[in-house]
Amino acid sequence: MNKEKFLMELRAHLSILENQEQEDILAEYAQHIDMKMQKGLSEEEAIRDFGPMQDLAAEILEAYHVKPEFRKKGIVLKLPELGVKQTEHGESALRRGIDLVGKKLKGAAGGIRNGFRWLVTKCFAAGRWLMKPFTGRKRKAGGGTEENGIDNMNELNSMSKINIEETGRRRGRIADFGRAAGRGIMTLWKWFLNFCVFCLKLMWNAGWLLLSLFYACMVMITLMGAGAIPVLLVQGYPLIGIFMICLGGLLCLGTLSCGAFSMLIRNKKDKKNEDSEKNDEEVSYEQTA
Amino acid sequence: MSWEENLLLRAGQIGMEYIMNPQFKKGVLELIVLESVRQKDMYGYELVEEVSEVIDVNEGTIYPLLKRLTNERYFETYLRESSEGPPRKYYHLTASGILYRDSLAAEWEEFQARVNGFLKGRSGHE
Repeated sequence: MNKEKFLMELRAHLSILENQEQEDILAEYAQHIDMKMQKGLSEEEAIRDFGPMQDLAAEILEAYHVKPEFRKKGIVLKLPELGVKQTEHGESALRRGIDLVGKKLKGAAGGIRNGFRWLVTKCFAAGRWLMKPFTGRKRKAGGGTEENGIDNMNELNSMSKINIEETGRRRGRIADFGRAAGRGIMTLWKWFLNFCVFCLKLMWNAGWLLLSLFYACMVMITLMGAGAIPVLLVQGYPLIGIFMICLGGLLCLGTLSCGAFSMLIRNKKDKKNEDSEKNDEEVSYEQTA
Repeated sequence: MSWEENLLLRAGQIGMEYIMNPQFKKGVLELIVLESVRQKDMYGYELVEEVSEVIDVNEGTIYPLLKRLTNERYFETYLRESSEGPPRKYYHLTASGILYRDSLAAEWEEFQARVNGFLKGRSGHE
C-alpha cells in the first residue's frame, strides 16, 4: 500500500469527523510517513508500522469519543423498527374511516381502552423480561474483549507475543459471532413479539368493528321502522308505542355503534409512546453492544 | 530496581521485544507524552520517536492522543518552518496541561509506590 492509498483509506474510515479534523490528523500521518522515508524506510514499511487499518481508525475515533462500530450498528438497528412499522401500516386502513365518528365519544371509551393498552404495555414488559438472557449474554460477549488485557497479563509468563495476539484475535472472533447470534435471536424475538401485539390489536379492533357494524345495521332497521310506522299511524293504527320504541332504539343503537367505533385502537396517539419506547430500546442496544 | 526495569527483565524472558499490558500502556502513555512536551515543545514525529524510546508503542496511536489532549486544551499548537520539507506543527503544554501532568504524575507515584510496597511485602514473607 502506498501513502496516497493509505491516506485515502484512513479518510474513508474517519468520514464521521469534521473535515477540518480529518485534514489535521491526516496531515500528521502524512508527515510521519515522509519522515520515516527520509530515515531510509520504504513507504510500505512506514505504513506497516501503523498496524492494521481497522485498529488505527478505531483508536483515532476513540480519541474523539466516537464509537468505532458506529456504522455497522446503524444497519442492524433498522431491522426491529421494520416490525413496528408493519403493524402501523396494517392498521392504517382501519384507522381512516373511524376518526370522524370516534372523536366525541373518546372520553367515555378512554378508560377501557387504557386498560387494554396497559395490557399491551405489560406484554411488552414481559417480552423485554424474557429478552433479558439474550441482552445479558451480549453484555458478557462485549466485556470479553476488554478482559483480554488482563488475561494476557496472566499468560505473559508462558506465551510468546504472537501467541497472545492470536488468542486475542480468536477470542475476538468468537465474541463477534456470539454478538451476531445474540442480535439475530433478539431480532427474531422482537418480530415475534411485534407480531403477537399486532394480532392482539387486530382481534380487538375486529371485534369492536363487527359489533359497531351490527349496531349500525340495527340502526338502519329501526330507522326504516321509524320512517314506515308514521304512515300507519296516520292511517289510524295504534302503533304509537312501537314508534316510540323505534325512536328510542335509533338513538340508543346509534350511540352504541359510535361507542364501539371509538373503542378501536388507533395509532395516532400511541405513536409518541411507541417512539419513546423505540428510543429506549436503541439506547439499551448501544449500551450493551 | 525500578518498576520499569523489573518489568523489562521479566518480559525479556519471553522474547526479544518487551510487552506491556496494553491497559497499563495506555495510562502511562499520556503521562509520558505530557512530560516530553513539558520539557520542550515538539512536533508529532519527534514526539513519537521520544516516546518510542521509553515504551514500545504503536506509532499510530500517539497522534490520536495528541489530538485528544489538544482538544481538551492541555496542548496548544503552532506552526514553525523547517529547513527540510513543509512547516511542522509544534505542541506546547498549556497551564492547565501542566496541572494535569502534575496530577497524573502524583497519581502514578502513589500507584507505583503502593504496588511496589505490596510486591516487596509479599516476597519478604516467602
